[in-house]
Amino acid sequence: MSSAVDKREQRASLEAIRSIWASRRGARSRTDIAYLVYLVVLSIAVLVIPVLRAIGMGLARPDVVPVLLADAAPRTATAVALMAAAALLLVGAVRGPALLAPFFTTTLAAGPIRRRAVLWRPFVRSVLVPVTGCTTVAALIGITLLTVGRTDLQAAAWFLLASVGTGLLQGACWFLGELLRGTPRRILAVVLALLGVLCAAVPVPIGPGAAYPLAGGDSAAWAIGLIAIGTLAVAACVPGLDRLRGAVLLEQAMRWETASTSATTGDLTAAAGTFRARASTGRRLPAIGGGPMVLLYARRDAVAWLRTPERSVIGVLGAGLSACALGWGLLGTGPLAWTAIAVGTLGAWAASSSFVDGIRHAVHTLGAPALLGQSAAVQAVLHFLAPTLLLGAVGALGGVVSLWSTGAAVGSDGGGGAAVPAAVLVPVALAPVLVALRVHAAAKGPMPLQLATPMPTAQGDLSVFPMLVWQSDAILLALMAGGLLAVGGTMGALWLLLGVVLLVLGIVLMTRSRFRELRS
Amino acid sequence: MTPPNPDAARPDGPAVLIDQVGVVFDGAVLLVEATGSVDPGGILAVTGPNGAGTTPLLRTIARILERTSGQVLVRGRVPDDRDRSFRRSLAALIGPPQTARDLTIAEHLQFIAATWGVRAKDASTRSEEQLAELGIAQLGARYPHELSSGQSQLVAIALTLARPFDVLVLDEPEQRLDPDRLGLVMGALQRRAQDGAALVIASHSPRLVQELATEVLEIQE
Repeated sequence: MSSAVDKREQRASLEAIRSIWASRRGARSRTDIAYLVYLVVLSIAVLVIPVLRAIGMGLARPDVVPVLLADAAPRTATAVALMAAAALLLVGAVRGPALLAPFFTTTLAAGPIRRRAVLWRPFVRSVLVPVTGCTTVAALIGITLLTVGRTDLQAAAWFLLASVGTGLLQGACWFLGELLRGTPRRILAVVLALLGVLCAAVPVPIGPGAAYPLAGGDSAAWAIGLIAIGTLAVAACVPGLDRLRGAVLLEQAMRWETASTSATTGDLTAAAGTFRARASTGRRLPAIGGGPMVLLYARRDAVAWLRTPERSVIGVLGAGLSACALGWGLLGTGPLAWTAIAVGTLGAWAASSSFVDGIRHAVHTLGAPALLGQSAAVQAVLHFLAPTLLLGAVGALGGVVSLWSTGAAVGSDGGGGAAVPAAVLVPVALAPVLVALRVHAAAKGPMPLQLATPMPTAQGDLSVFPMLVWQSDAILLALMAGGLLAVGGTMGALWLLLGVVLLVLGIVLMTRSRFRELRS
Repeated sequence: MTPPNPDAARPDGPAVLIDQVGVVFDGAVLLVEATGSVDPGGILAVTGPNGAGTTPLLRTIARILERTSGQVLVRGRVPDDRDRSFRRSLAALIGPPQTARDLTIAEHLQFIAATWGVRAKDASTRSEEQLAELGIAQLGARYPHELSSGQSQLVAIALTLARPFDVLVLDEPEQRLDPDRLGLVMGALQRRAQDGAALVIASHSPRLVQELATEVLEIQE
């Protein structure tokens, strides 16, 4: 009886809130919402589907199709899906799927209303992210195989459905990352990652791989099963929303809002900084030792990594996998190879972030009263050694793994020629360039106002393009460096060395001017 | 002991000379005019109402802000943060210091000392002494983000005192400190002055000004 009264009161309270919220200035009217739905449906029909179809048909090339037709392709699909689920589980700890703005977290989620009543909408919206990701990849694979006539429409459709189920399950994992505390979350992530490794090794595909367009057999059963389990898992998460801790919700909400504000004002570095883990362990490790100054800084950096173990492990794994991707890219040809090189470079760039806090600290001392005995520029140089050595070593290892795995998959002549040493040397060569770019990125000041000056044209305001370039300059420079080194690597070790020297020198020159601007 | 400053033997005269210094920034008058000086071993207290320009004056001495008129000399030289001997001479706490998120407080003190050439073992001993001097030995194993507001202020002062200097510039060191802690800080500053350092302190604490200052520069609005 009292439960029914509670529910009635809650419904009334929610209706009152919705009515107040809907009457705010700038609120979307029903017509606005209808227009939005119309716009989304039209965009999918007119833009997304034709673009996907064009990309899928473009991928129907002799250097892409064999990869999609490989025996290992179905089980690789399952392995990747499981690894992505493990990653989402960890992401849930810093940015979960059920998130409101800080104001609504403190007013609604902390009030007497059930949390699920206010959190289910953002949760469902977030789950659409992995679902969209999975279905996009599945659609591309399906279209490519359909184009070359290696599958039929029905098999491609089952795979697409299976990918929806996989996306839903990944959404549930993301939620678990937000719900669970540290240790169980880490254990579950490790279990999922190990399952991924196992699935990659076992020849009989299960999960989404079993619905792969070439798998045949039980595609329909697997697709329906995955959709059913995925829907059930997401439905089971909804009552779980009540179990989310207020402190977690508020911390994530505030962090996300700070990051969004920084990102929308063009300060992507500050946005990324809000998600950087703080040291919480290893305080007894001896970070300060004797010896020359360069060793003092290197040791301090290395010990500091041990104080954020989760972040460092993710960084090392990311750097290793990225080096693998780079190696694979250098051993292959065509769009897949270039995609692998781009993904490898971007992954290595992202992974390097875990190891350059010393460099960031050095740059932050610019313009402040001196505490340390070295100027900011000298500090940055001294902080250069440790991350370069680590990323270089992990890069070499990843390159060797790429050689080994390619050899295992396609026979001993998997690479051949200059590509074999390049697969190992390029990830190593990329390390000093990326660390130099990190100094350059850390010294980035606020966006110059003149970039925001409107550029009216018949096609609309084009000022967004210089702003986008300014915001993503580090990523563009990293991609350019990766591309140049990949080309240099295929030409020989000397060219590669020359490329590294020229790139580092160029970055140093650009960084010098940034240092001057920050100091002035 | 701090390592000897190779440039210590500067010409006789005040450690810090402030001569009719005015600061205008982007059309806004931050400091109308200030004149004063402090000799080695002396403590110059800079006082004045909020907005009078005490902090801009300190920033000018530390060369974080450029003066518009007048002259500032630190140990007979025009302040320039590109000048290594100037950086070696002057320590300043104006706003929160840039701490590393992955070093403990004791390690910050050791690292600062080591970057100025102190041996690792000596740096460790000194860091313990400095923490004890300000009554914060228990904070040595904490990370900067694990401190309260008052503790952060004490740590900021400890970090500034951890490096060598001939001139020490402090902006309102009394902020967020209880009377006992303020007493400890004042004792530490007094000892630095007795060792020959010149101190320039902007303060709103009558107790600090009365008990420490050898000279007072009052800035009018």
